[in-house]
Amino acid sequence: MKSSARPTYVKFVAAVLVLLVAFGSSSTYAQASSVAANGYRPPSGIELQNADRIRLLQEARAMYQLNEAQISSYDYSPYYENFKSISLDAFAVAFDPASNSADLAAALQPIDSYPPYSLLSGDNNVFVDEILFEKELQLHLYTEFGSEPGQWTEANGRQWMDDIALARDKLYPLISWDYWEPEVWTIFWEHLNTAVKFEDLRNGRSDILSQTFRYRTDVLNRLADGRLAPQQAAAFDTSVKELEKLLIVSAAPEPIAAAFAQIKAAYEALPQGGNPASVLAVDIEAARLLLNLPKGIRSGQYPASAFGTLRRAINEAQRVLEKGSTPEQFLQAQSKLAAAVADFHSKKKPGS
Amino acid sequence: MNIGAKKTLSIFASVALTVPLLIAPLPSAFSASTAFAAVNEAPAPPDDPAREKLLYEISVFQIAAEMMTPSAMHGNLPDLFEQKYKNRIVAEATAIAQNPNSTPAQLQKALNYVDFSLHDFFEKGDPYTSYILIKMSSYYIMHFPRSDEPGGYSEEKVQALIDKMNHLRGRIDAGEDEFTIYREFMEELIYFDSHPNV
Repeated sequence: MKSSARPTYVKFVAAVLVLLVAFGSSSTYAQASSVAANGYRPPSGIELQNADRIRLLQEARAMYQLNEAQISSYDYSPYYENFKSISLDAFAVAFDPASNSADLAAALQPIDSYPPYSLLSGDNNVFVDEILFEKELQLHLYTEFGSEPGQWTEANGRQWMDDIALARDKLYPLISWDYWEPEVWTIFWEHLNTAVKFEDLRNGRSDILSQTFRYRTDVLNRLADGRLAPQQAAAFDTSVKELEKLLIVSAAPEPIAAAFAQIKAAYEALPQGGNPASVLAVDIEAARLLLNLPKGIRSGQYPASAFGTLRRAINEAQRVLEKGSTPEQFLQAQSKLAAAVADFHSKKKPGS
Repeated sequence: MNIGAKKTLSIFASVALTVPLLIAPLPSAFSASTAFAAVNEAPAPPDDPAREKLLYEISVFQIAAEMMTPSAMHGNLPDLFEQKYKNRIVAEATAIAQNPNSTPAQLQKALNYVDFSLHDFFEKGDPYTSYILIKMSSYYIMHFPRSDEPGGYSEEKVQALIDKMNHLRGRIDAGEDEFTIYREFMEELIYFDSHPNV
């Protein structure tokens, strides 16, 4: 195994890139936050399933883990804190409903421009194969698979083991005699991304992520239209930050579930009143489900004309949701939609 | 005898001397505190054949891994695998086999992992089985000491091992899977070593 030092110019270029990345990121975030009114920006409307969000949520965590793997590398300390904060910031942007496409693009930029595995390589070897071997052993011998929350299903567990075995097969010719082959980093980076993907495949994890994101969206809406004061949302914000910290380190399922329970409790403890826009959105989704009910003239069915009326009411409510600006407009639309739904139900053909 | 032959002989002699060590009593349970996740399954009884089977498969894996090194002339397995990984797999699987709280499901998992590791090491170590069988049978024909004393190996026992090796070589020539043959070869060595004259 070689232990040669990297050429000085590589370090210099890396140092310049670190500064560029750190400076570029902080200035972009500063710009984005200056848009905020009264300290809070309303949700951007970009859903959690958005491709950029998904990629950033994954790569920010992979970047964090890559940085952690090199914490003990020689001469790495000047880079460690920078990359830690970049990955934490990137994850926070990805998980913030207020982030718009410009925020997401700015947070992805360091990852896209300077592949972390080439930028973050310290001067010491990271024993990638040993890390993968240990994970493989744990999965084979001790990990319980099943349908309990936080577990992987048997099929996902098998897939995860197969992915690691393939990565180790690719590593073998590179690590037998030398850890400095540059492809080792590429394989490690792929592995870290896959590891994050499998974290999100744990039973119930996607619900935790999507539910938290919905809660945050609602809270931001209420903060933005003044229905909630920042102090009222402080406990909720703290509990969300706690969950973020656990997610980025790929913590065990139990503390993540506990952190989500805290978020739920904090959300439910918020003063009621609700944001009319959110309530209207929920009502629209509920009304849309009615369109799937059986159509016909037999008992228990609904006449075709009732569906047309309901669909028009839904479309009208949707337009208000998209273009309305005052709470009164949303409340009015909500009330009209409720009347249309009641009218729809009244047309159901009586039956046994 | 030329220098090359002397070198080969000394390597095979060292292999033969090492074999008994390889199948010496396995290390004790990895740790009494080995924690198992709570499962709704009763522990396997101490005399469960699955425990014995697991220990046997561990011994096959262990000798196979140790003989697949360049120094043992069976293959190209690097030290990282032959020492660090092999020791860890053997220690963990043995701890599960010997832990009274191990359930049948856990024993089966460990058995699967040892089998997976044997295949994995074989692919990576890439032993040249046919060549090894020729060299090893030459060693047993020419140099292995025969004895009718208790603890030694009679001519009959040594010849039986040589015949088995020749038979295995014939099966390779007939196109049979090399992994199967290599594994059976390891089993023959274990059997031979554990059945001296009484």
